[in-house]
Amino acid sequence: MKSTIKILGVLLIVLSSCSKQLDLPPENILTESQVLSSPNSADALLASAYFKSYSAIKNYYYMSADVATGNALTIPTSGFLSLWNGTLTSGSNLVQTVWNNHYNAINEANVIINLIPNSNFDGAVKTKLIAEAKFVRALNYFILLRDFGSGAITGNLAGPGVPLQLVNYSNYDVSKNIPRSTCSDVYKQILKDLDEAAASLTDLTTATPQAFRGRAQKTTCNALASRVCLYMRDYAKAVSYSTLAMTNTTQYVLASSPALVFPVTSATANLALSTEFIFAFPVSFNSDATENNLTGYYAKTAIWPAPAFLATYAANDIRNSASMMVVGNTAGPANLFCPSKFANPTGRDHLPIIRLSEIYLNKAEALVRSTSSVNAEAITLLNAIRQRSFPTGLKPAPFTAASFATANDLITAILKERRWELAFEGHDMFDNIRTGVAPNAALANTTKWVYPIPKREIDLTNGLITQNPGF
Amino acid sequence: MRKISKLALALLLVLGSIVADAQVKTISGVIREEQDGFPISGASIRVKGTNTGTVSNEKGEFSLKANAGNLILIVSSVGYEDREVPVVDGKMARFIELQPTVKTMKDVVVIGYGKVDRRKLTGSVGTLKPDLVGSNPVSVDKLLQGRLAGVQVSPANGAPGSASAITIRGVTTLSDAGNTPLIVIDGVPMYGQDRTSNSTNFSASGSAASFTQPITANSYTPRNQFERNPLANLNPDDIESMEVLKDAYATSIYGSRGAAGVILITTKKGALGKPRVNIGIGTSAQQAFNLPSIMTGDEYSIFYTAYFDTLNNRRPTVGWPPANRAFKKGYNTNWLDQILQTGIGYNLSASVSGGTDKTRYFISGGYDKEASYITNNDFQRAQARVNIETALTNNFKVGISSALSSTVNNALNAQRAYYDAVIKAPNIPVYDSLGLYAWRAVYSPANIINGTAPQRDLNPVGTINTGKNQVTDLRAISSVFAEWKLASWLTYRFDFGVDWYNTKAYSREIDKQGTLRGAATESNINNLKTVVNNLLNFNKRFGDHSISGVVGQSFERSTESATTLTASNFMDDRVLSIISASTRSVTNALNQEWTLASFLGRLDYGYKDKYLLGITNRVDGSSRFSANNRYVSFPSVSAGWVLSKEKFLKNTTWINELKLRGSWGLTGTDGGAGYYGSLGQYSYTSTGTTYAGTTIISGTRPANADLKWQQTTNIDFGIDAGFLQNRIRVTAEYYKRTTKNLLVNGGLPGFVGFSTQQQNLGELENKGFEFTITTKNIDKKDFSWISSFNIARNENIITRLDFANKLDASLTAERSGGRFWTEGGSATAFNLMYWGGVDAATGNPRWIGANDTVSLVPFEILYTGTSRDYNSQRRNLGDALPKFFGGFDNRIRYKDFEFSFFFTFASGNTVFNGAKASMYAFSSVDAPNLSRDILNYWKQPGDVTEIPALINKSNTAFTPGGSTSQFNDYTLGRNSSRFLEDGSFIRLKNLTLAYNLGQGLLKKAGIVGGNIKLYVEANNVFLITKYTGIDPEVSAYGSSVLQAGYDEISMPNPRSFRIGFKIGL
Repeated sequence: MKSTIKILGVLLIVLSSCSKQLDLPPENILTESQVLSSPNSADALLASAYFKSYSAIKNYYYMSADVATGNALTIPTSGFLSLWNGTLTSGSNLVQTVWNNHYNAINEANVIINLIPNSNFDGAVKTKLIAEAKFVRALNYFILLRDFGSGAITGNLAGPGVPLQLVNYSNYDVSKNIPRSTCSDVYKQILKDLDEAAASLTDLTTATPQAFRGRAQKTTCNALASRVCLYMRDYAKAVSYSTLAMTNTTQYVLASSPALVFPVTSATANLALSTEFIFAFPVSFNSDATENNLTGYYAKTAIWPAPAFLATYAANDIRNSASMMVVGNTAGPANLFCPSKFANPTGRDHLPIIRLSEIYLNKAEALVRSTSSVNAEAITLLNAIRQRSFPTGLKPAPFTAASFATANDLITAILKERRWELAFEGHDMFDNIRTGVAPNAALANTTKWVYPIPKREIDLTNGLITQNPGF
Repeated sequence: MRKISKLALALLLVLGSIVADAQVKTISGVIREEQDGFPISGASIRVKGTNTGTVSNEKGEFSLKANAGNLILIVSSVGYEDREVPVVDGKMARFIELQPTVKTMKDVVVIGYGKVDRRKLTGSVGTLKPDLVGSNPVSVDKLLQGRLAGVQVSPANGAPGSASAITIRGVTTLSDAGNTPLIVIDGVPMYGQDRTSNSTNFSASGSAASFTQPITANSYTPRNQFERNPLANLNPDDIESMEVLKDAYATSIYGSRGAAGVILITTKKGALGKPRVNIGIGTSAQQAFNLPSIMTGDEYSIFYTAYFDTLNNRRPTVGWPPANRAFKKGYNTNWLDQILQTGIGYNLSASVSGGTDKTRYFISGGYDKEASYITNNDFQRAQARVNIETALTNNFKVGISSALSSTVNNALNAQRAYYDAVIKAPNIPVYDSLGLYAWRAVYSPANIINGTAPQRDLNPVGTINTGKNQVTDLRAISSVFAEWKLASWLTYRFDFGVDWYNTKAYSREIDKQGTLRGAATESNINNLKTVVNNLLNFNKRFGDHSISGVVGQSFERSTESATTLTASNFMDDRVLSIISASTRSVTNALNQEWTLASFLGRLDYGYKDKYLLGITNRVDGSSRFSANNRYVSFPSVSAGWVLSKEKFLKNTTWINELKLRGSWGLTGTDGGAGYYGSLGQYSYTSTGTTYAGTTIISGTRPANADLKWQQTTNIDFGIDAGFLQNRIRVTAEYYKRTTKNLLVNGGLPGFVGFSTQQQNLGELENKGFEFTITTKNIDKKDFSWISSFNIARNENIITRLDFANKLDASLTAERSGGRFWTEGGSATAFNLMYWGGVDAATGNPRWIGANDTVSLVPFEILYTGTSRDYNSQRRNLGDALPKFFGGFDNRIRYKDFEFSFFFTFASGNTVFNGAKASMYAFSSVDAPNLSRDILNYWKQPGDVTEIPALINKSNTAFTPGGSTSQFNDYTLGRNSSRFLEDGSFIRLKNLTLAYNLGQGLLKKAGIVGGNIKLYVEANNVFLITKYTGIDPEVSAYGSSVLQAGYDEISMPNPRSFRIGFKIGL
């Protein structure tokens, strides 16, 4: 029996050491708390939120705004026609995918915003991470609202926007379902996030890597807010945000010619980012060889600038010259051109989201609309964009106040310039819709100006999330 | 205790001697078996200290004359413990009961952490002791096939060394990882069936080099993966017994890993006596069981030329179909013929075993080669085993059970070559005009125009003759033990075991069109598992009460690492080293570790050996469980009633054994939730994706703080009976197993940030019965015939699926490696669109909707652009797992001849004949070869045929517009019932004839008790089935039972013949 007791003693010792052996972290993954416990991995998570925002918007979602209004043409068998021809249904994978992808990015931003405050590292680093995450959240909500919010960019701010999910995912049951907030509430949240982010962030310096034009700075927040306010038709605010976005004149400078903003190169990594970019997804700085999915422009077989649209440019306009409408793939159709904005053969061109020239035009338009007059500053801003687009010696006469009989004439000129300047950058359909113009004949019915809410969201929330009218 | 009895005996003797007188008396009695009361004949009875003795007769009776007074009888019989019986004054108890020795106890059953007498067993355990007339199959899983009720073994395909699906009492969970049994060999839980970790990518090119079939809803793309069989490392000849644990009593002691059943493998130990040598030598021939009927080159060319003409007439588009659309004629390559062979294999094994009082040993070695019926694809295994145990003192014993094995599998290509040979265009010669392999898949006019074909390499002859595709396993499964007898009833046992599993795979494509300058993949997997057990076994009797059992603790650790390198651009096809490639990358590098700390106990109580009670419990703590739910307890209780020991049956001579038993208990599985299942998980991408120069880490699995582990409640009732001197033995069982907290990917509304998540959403239930009967039909000296029959019925129902959106979730499940599950249906059900044959008037397929409406347009097209989902038209049309299955074995011995035949059968299962779907897939892009059946397509109104018109409303070639070269064909989807067939079968699995010769010869050589047996056997002799494919018992998805029932040109199981010797010296 003595020996039994000895054995039991040994057993007890063995047993007591077991519990410690059970705390084994797997090597290939990190848990949420681990990710947030170090500044490096938290930054990596923020990078993922940016990357997911990029993944959500690239490809046909990006190009659809230009195809919809005829800036670009595509093959009739494209699988994405429904994005712009009014045949989109709520069961379509296209709407489900874009919805999921943006919310997926928003969730990662939410994780940072809500959980980083508990982390134990340098407060300044935490503040910066949270501020950038708020920008990412604002950007994604803005795109969602623009695409799905009923009335969001047509002035009906009381209409249903999108569900405003501001908490990070922890678990799910039906009590977690939330309805769509009004467009106005979503806008408020977007501006709140941008204001808070702008207050915490500094701007680029000469020492900052170029690729940081792909991450939020103070100017980036103000610049996005400028467009947000223009879309929500709060023109006074749009003016003030635009002014703020134009204050850093050393880091954000208008190029002397638009061709310099989009040089043609076949390099595959670290393509230069012009100082005119306030925010762009820096595709060529991403090490993984994920292209921007716009190589169709280079090949000229999937998508190409519409000859009819190119014909609207004035003679000698650099934006329709050989330096910006290039040959692209020589094996492609000879009569078609490739915009230099997307002329990289391997699709490594940066995806422009906000350029300084847009801020000029935002401010110009907002000035005219808020003052309802032929505003002198607006004309100056318009001229700045227009004048640089022509070669020296061939520049047209600058506009003056006399060039415009009414404020509306000036707005028309600004919008025209906007179409030429921002062509193929994913703007035109929304510029049409927000000014009350059907992008094309198939979209004559205004209910088709927004995407349907994905059917799955409605089903899974038992109808708490409602469908847009007309679907 | 023993001391006390000795003392008492001495006292008696002293007392006895006082009153002794020299009268002679007759002492008589009956010797019988302790448990069942069988009479023991031939037992020797001797008066201690004298030469007086006798032997018991057939009824166990004896009588002898001895001096009256007090004496001691020594009773002994082979196979029983010796017993000393005091006779006081010529009187003693009438019955002397002998206890079988543990070693020879015929019916000892190995259970978790111990052994038990089958007659006292209160749980459900199936035992298989490999003892075939001929040779054992090359791997253990094939040995189990059809032998035990409720144990379903389905080989994936006929390639040697490929995995089988082993399912015990039905599907337990809805994730693959939780449905394979735990396998424990000599106390070491080994790395078992696991599709994810046992699959080897065998082609250096990332995707399969196959044809694109017409786009269908769920088409099948062959994957360049080979699932290794982790059981192929074991030599079945080394196995003493395999125990399959089925109910709660048996499996709860394995706790969190017991839900899908447990297989215990016990290897052979030496027996007391002089060295015994066993040698087995054999050679085998393997052939294809049958071959599909496909078109010749000329038939193919005529068919496709006509098809292209029809397309042209139907929808002339500028430039397409091409003007020069005639397919070449003149070559008739029978690709299957080119790669088939009769595979010649060998088996050689030798063992020597024996023992002294103190030491027992068993040492064996073996070599096996299995050559498949595809040329250049074989599997080889070499292994050795040493099992030794020795008693250091009377109370202390140590031992080792150790096996090393090496397998080399060159058969990775077999399935791919077979598949390619079926679909490759037959109008192409094997070699092109330069004498090189014609790698181009097809010479289709369409290909020539769009230039896609040369990208795709497809030449089965080239595949098997060039490059290299090999996986080598090195494995050591060893355990050492020390056993310390603390008291006569108490033993402490320490086990330390390892399973060291090293796999190296190399795959190389030579320089050819699709892989210019070659491409290679090399992967290394190193897994090491260690287990430490501390066990106290006890076994004690107090008068009518007996208790036995175990308490202990077990600690297990597994370290798993894997690396994969890929490379391309080699300098030279002959240099294999990855370093000689100019492009190299590491595509996988993983190191992970998990541990499991457990406490366990079992208590078996018996009253008069009539009323039995068993209680077990295990508490598992796993590093993979979240810290809050780390320890989980899995208890069980069971009871048995041995009716045959009751008075009212004791004298019924024809009933020897009758026991009722029942058990209840819990088992678990993590159901594949894996590491930190409840926590949010984040990973860096394998490609090192950065954003603006910062590496990204992104969420890969959403957190679920509510996640619980799956729990299975097992209920089992059984009867064990033996009749007519146990010539008939019957076991019948009913069971019901309910799994709750089933882990399923549930749908989340996208706005929360994720669209699916593993959640505890379901419950499922398996219920069924099992019946086994073994009869000794004839039992004479020169002639015996033993039959054994088993049958099992299992019914699986998913009783609850809390999907928020059922259709959506079922589709999600189907796309992510599961099935289209429905509440109330089985986990392996086929929920498909209902194919209603071909409309004789128009040649269009008829589709039958959920409410029996008939549509000539497939629902996929009919509902496009509407809010209706075509999947709502699916219905439950069959189940991949059978309603009934089992085996029937017969073994006849007549003088020196032995003869055995073994049938396996299954009934009520359906098979999706994807092979047919692929062979019916005429495509304008790739023009694969087709089944001859296609020639019978609908041609004119009134034709009654199963093949629709070539252009019909169910393939989009019908509607002008759309892409010019690629058509959707909805008749070929894996989501329609067109190719769903009855898979019931009866197979004559084995037929063996043996002749025992050479006893005379051996006697002349001075060897007594030796034996030489010559045998011939045939495996997979014939198959009776309605299935129109070749083999209903294949699965394209390997060991995954959830995806069972798909024949995707899977290599049929071979027919094989073997001749050999078994020599025992």
